[in-house]
Amino acid sequence: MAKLPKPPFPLPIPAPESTEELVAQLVEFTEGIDETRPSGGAPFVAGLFPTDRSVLAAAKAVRAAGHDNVQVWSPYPVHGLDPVLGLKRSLLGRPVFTICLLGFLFCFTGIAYLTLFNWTVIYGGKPFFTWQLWVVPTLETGLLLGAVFNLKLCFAACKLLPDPFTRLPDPRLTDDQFCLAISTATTPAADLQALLTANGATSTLLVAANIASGNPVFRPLVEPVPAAARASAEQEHAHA
Amino acid sequence: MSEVTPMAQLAPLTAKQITDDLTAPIFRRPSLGWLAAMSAAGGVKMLLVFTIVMYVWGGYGIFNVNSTVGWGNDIASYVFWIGIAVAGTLVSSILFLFRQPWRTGVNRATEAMTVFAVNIAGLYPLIHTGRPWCDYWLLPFPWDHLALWPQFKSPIVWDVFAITGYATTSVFFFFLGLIPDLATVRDRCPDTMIGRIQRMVYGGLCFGWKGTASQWRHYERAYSQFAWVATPLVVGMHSTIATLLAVTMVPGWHESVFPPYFVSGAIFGGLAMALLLLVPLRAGFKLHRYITDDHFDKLAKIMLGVGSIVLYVYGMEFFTAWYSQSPYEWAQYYQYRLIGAHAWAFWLMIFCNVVCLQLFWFRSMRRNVVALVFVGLMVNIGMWFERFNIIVLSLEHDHLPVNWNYYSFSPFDYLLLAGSFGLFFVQFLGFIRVAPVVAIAEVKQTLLRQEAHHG
Repeated sequence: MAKLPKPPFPLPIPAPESTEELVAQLVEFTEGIDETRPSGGAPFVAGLFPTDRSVLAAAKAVRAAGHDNVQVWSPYPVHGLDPVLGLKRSLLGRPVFTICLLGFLFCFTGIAYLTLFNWTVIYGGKPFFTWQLWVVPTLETGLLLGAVFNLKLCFAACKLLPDPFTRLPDPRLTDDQFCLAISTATTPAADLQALLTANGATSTLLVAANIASGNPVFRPLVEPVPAAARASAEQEHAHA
Repeated sequence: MSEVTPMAQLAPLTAKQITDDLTAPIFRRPSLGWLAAMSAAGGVKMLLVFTIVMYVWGGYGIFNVNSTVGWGNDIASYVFWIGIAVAGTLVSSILFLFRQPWRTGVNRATEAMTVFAVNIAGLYPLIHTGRPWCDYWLLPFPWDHLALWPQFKSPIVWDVFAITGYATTSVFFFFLGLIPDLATVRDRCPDTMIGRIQRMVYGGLCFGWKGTASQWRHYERAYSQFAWVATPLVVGMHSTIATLLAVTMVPGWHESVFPPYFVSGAIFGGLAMALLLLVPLRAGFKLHRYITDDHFDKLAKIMLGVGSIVLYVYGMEFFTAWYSQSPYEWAQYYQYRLIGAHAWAFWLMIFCNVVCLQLFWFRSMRRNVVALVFVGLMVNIGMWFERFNIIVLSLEHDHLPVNWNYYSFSPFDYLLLAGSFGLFFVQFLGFIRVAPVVAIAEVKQTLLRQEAHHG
């Protein structure tokens, strides 16, 4: 039974004695938090990579091995990663463009109502319906609403909330490390660890299932990789 | 000048090195230079506070505007600060849309400059209304006690929309760009009592940013869209200010060239301010690997380009005044500006904006920090006087000689102008101590990819 190192920060659950106990605790801890995820609450195995190229190559290998429930953290966007992970192009564009158009319409009709019906004032001898003079506020209002909606939509899509207690699998993930996490729902943790190590991971962690939506619980995965699994993964990688 | 290791002798940058270099100023004790600059700026800022207190107490009469020159320092300085703001959007949005990767070294500082300049600019019209406690009447809201709406045919109301939209978008764009870098700072806070508090604050400010692939794809899309929104907004905003003048019949204002003239002038003056901020910033924080001579060279070239457009418009104003055969236009340019009572302001503008700028035709000058600061300072002075010439000299002599009057600063005008610079530098100096002054994630993406491509 492998001894676990001291947790880097206080956990809301008693410190486990072994990896098996830790996995059980993580499953119990995350039960109900994220039941809709395909992992069904199973923890993830996360591998750390030193460069964007290495994580991209590992992501390709992991996806080629048939793992669908994969998540990647990076300090900056890794180009070419989205299609590998099966992520579609962000659809923020159309709603923001629509809001801009609605903003134009709202402002133009609003001014028309105010000027033609609600408060008709003769101003400088100009006619009441002077649409040329409404262009500037109309344009500015539409763009302003588009900008506001763009930010709100981005926050909603990224699930950003003012959470001062957010933790990443490793604090270096906003610095110089890249992380690839695979769900243990269908594959044993040791095999995933071997797969990640064979594809260039410098170290591995066990991560709770709620990685995308909440504060995950992280522990280093200390159980040694079975030699057979490692050899098998390396062989598969070489063939790939 | 500080001792700098030649770039060729430095080891290639790593992601960790970039993070360390760019977050170090946040966790370091403030230097004596920073403390001295902050104290000086804070002291000057108090002049602004004092002036506003005196203005609220004594009324608008403390300034020297009169019935002829109703727009004096307030509006000249307002247009000046808005112009400063425009350059930041040029770097952050327009250069982004043109796919200029070098912008990543300077975009954060110029975006901060935009946000701080635009809030100072907004202060001036609010003061200028005379009763700032009634400024909310400008907003299109059916206030019960007023029972009326803003007059949408008035360019002043256009300006309210333009500034509100531009200021809001600039702040949002700036903040969106900061989020991944604030997360980087969050994850580097030391494990001490103060460090934990810092971590909570930065964690809250970065809205729990994690940097997952899913987040990055939405983030990049939203960032790009902000650039698309901000570009027409900034051009429209400054064109609106120009139109506000051009639609009047005042000689010296009634010109169709004003919108492109104002936008070019704004970029020109704003980049000059950017040079004034970036040169000492680079020296103070030792950012020579991130803000390089190439950055200054490119900024100076853009200044030369837009400055040449401004010079062309200066010439065209004189040409159209002659070509129109309007005696009022003729007198405005050939008499009042060239040899009038305020001719010194015109010639000072020409010296600063035209003569000094010619230094930038030489590559050595574009890469010399002393020359950059000198030209930056001169162009800032010149651009303020350009607005003074447009606003004050035109208003002093309208179509009715009985209206003609002379405008000069009151002591409070000087205090207000000086204080606004104090407030600007207080904000900027404060910002560089609490957030990365260079966009960490963008620089990593750009520099590391370049180094990977070049071996």
